Amino acid sequence: MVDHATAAHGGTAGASNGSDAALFAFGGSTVFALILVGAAVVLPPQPVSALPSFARQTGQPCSTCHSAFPQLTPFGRRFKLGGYTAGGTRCGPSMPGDAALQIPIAGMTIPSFTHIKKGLDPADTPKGFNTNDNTFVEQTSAFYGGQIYCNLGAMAQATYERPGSDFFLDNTDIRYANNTRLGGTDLIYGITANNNPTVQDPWNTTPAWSFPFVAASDALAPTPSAGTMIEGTFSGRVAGTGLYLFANNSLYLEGASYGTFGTKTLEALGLDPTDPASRFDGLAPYWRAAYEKDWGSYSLMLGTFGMYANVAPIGNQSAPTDKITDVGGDSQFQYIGGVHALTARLSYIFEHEALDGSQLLGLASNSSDHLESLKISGSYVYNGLVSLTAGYFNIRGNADPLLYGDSLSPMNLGSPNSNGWVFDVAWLPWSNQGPSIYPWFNMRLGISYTLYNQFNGASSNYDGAFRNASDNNTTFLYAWMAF
Amino acid sequence: MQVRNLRSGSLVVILAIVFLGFCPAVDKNGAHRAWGDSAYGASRHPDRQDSRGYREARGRGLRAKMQYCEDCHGAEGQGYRGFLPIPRLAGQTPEYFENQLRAFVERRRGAHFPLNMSKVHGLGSETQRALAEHFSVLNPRPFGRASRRLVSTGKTIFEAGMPEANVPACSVCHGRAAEGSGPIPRLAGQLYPYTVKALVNWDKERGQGGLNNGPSAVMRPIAHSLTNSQIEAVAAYLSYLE
Repeated sequence: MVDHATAAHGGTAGASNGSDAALFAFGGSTVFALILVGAAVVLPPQPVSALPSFARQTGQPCSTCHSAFPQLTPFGRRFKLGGYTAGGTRCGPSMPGDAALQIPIAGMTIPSFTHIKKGLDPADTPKGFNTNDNTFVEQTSAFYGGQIYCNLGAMAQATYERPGSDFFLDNTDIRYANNTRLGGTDLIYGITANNNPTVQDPWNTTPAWSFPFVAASDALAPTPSAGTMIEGTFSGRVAGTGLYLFANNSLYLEGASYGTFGTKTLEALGLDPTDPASRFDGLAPYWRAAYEKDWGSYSLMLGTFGMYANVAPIGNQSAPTDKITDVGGDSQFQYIGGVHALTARLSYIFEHEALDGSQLLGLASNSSDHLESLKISGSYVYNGLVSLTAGYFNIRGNADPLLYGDSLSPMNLGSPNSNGWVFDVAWLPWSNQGPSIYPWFNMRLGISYTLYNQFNGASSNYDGAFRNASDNNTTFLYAWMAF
Repeated sequence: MQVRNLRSGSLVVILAIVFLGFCPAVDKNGAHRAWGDSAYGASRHPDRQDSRGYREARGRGLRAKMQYCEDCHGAEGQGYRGFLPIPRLAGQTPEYFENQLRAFVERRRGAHFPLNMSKVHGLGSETQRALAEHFSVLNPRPFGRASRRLVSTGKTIFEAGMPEANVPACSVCHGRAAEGSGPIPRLAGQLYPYTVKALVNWDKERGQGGLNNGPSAVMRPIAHSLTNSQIEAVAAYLSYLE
């Protein structure tokens, strides 16, 4: 699709542009720059788990911060907003008798089995994999999770993923946080440097940590082509700094600014700078506001989040850009009792796309489009051990045959519409207490089923080659292990 | 917009972050609370202890431990009234405070709640004393949020007891203002759901260790003599008491 000569040329012009933006976005956080420059960055949206290194540091079982990982409890939210530092001993010399340093390193691996209703076309199947019924280790990660020094902490994940055999710096969130008390109100405030908008969010309603928490690789089980910008488009390809405030355990406010890397940086990191629509011009603002109220065991959160970016359609920031605005609203209801825990989540994102750049390049049919993404899910967790989750998703918007080139249904050409359900049943045997031989072992053994009513615009023959939406229905077995 | 396959290219990731664990970072805000030398007791390295840098570093270390307490108990030890009531520590008597830490270490407390107090095992006695002193001088406003109707009944029980039910006045031991004394805890301002839970489930919450458990053993028959509605009344009264 992309002319390499053009991309290389345009890239030179865009390089300084993007680097400057990223540097501005860093603010004072040189630490993050060091890490990102020192490490490779590619990032498909993938989940992380209850980190054994967090458990080691806080002295708490996983179930204190997770109803069923990676869903957070109010304590989990505070631990995250507090900069992952609670319980850390990495700050000043100890007094006699105080505990020694904990090791902030953890590992994770996800062996899995993926079955789709109708196997893939051999031409679409990754090399070395079957057209259907694949059993393999989908992801293996190493983490730094916990305090770095005093009020500075991080959750950083390096992942090796298949198919594709990619090594990349996955979700990374580095924070400096502190607490104080102002006029009778507890305040947690801090600064976050991260590489994926919403990865810093403490609720499981925003894209980075939303349900489904773990899913089959999209190379082996097709997923809808359309999605809003904030739902993972920039993950790992951007750096941003945000300032946040959490007042009285209820009001959360955050403002952040993201910048993309320049072409040369991306190339040096082994990333494809021409990867369509994954870079933007200048800085992209991100905002988040949420209010959580609790009544004993019950809590209700109402919030909003969003992002604006001048997206470069083919990665060339000096060419005309698309102006993309995402505005989201979300809500979470949580009940955490002694034995039972219930969580209901709602997220709605409206995206307005002014496609000046794409239209000029012949990549979009319309000058502006809109797209909506709705996600509703509910989880029940029994005693931290068994988790049942059901979720509904609906992506819809106006048709644009050039932009949504995969939507080839003769009846509904160029429609981004997809909707369906995801069901997940999981067993977490060591959520409350790890096995005695190695107490830091944690596991989520689960099976999920994804059902599509509509896929890329149609329920039948969505690709013009007689593939139906239900052919992509996916059964996914996983053993999500952290140690 | 179009979501593409985000995977592209591959590179080895160096966990540079690991090494950052050893980088000195600066903690300017709130870390340098003045800590008197008395909090640290004698040191094996008196010359080092005298240096200002060393004292500041120790202050930082203690401050970090304090923040671990504050994450749940609140920045001023006012407690947390969320899905799990976390008790108020503010104004608590140091002796009671240290006794409870010891009870956690000796597993006489904590077997029946979901939060793990194992961190206490890693606190040296000097740190425990410093924490106890820190929280004892704080005095945030109580949460209240209990039924006002119950307050007057609670006040009567607290100040006069119920001789007919073998319940002595709480104020005899806990003080007229429920301020506590030595090993007897301060109750003023304690969270309503916390006080209720402790008294209703006395044997599980506090009774571990039986008669050897000092003041907890004294409380046992009293807790058993109180009905649930009497417990709620006393807890409501205390929850507003400043």
